[in-house]
Amino acid sequence: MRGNMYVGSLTCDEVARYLHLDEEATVVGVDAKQLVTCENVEELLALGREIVLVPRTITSFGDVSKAPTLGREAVVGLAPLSVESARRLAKISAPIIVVMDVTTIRFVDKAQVNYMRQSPARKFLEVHLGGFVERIGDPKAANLNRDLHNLGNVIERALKLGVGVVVSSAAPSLSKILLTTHLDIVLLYMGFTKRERRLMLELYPLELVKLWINTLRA
Amino acid sequence: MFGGAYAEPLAVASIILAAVALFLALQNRQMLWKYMEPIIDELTPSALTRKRTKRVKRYLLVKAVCSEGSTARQLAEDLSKGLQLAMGLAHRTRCEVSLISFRRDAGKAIIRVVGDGNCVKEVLLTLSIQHLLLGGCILVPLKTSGLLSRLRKALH
Repeated sequence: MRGNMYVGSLTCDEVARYLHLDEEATVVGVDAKQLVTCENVEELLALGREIVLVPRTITSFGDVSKAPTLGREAVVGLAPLSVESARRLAKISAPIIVVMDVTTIRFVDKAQVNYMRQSPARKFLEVHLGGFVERIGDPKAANLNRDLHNLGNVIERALKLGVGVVVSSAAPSLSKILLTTHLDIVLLYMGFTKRERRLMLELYPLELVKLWINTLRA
Repeated sequence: MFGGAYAEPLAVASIILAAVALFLALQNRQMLWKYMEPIIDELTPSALTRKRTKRVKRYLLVKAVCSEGSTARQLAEDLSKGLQLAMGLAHRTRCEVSLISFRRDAGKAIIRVVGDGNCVKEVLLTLSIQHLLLGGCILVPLKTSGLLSRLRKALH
């Protein structure tokens, strides 16, 4: 039972194939635009095991955007465009998901995690591991080591302070997908213990979904 | 006892003697060092704390999702190519990876890893990212074991 909070912008058929491939994924985040076009959602869910499909949207957050929230139609992940917008995200008193990928890792650092800890509302970090893993195979990609080092430090800090960390494989296509077992192995290679990996892959995704459902009711 | 007439040559002689003694001592020390150096080198803490790496043998059960008509030979080639791409050529001197069996109908394979303790971790990482690097089969590591017989049960 594991969670992959955002599989990437896969089409409906690709999501079905992904669910067949990944036998351990329970909480699966699917792009909300693609999920609307799905004709047979029941077929996706009839795999003989419990699956939670979460509609997701990933948007970038600049300085002029309106007040960010967790979202109603979909769970919104916010990717900051600058250091200022990242810090502003941390200070808003609403539950928010801050996306950490190859481009936003420059703004989401240890200080950001400290600010997120100080906020009264629950804050989540969402790590898009797919981009980092893809850069391992790209000899032209610069600063891979530095980014992975920073990523490990930020996740470690967040786990220490109790800020939720959710891992997802934001893959551009099905052939570049990372299954939850793969996410687990990458995290193992980065040096996280079994407990930390279970927190990131099992506990925090469920907590996030629970929080979202509670905000819908309110 | 010694008068002023003897004082000057004595001083000169003692200076010369001292210089010769110093020279001999230095030369001796160099010779001594020459003999001591290999012994000290062998007894330094770095040599004492150097780990004798243990050779560990592990078997990995892998679910292989491949395209139609892929063979075991092709899978093994992909595996070694991916390892070389991800870990480099020097990795082969430390870890030995070989494909033991591959059942296409069940979509499962067994891989043997022999090497030091880190090898298994590195090979697991390579297995899980190799479809991003090469674009072949998607391999999902299912189980790690030290005994081949346990995995054989899962294969059939």
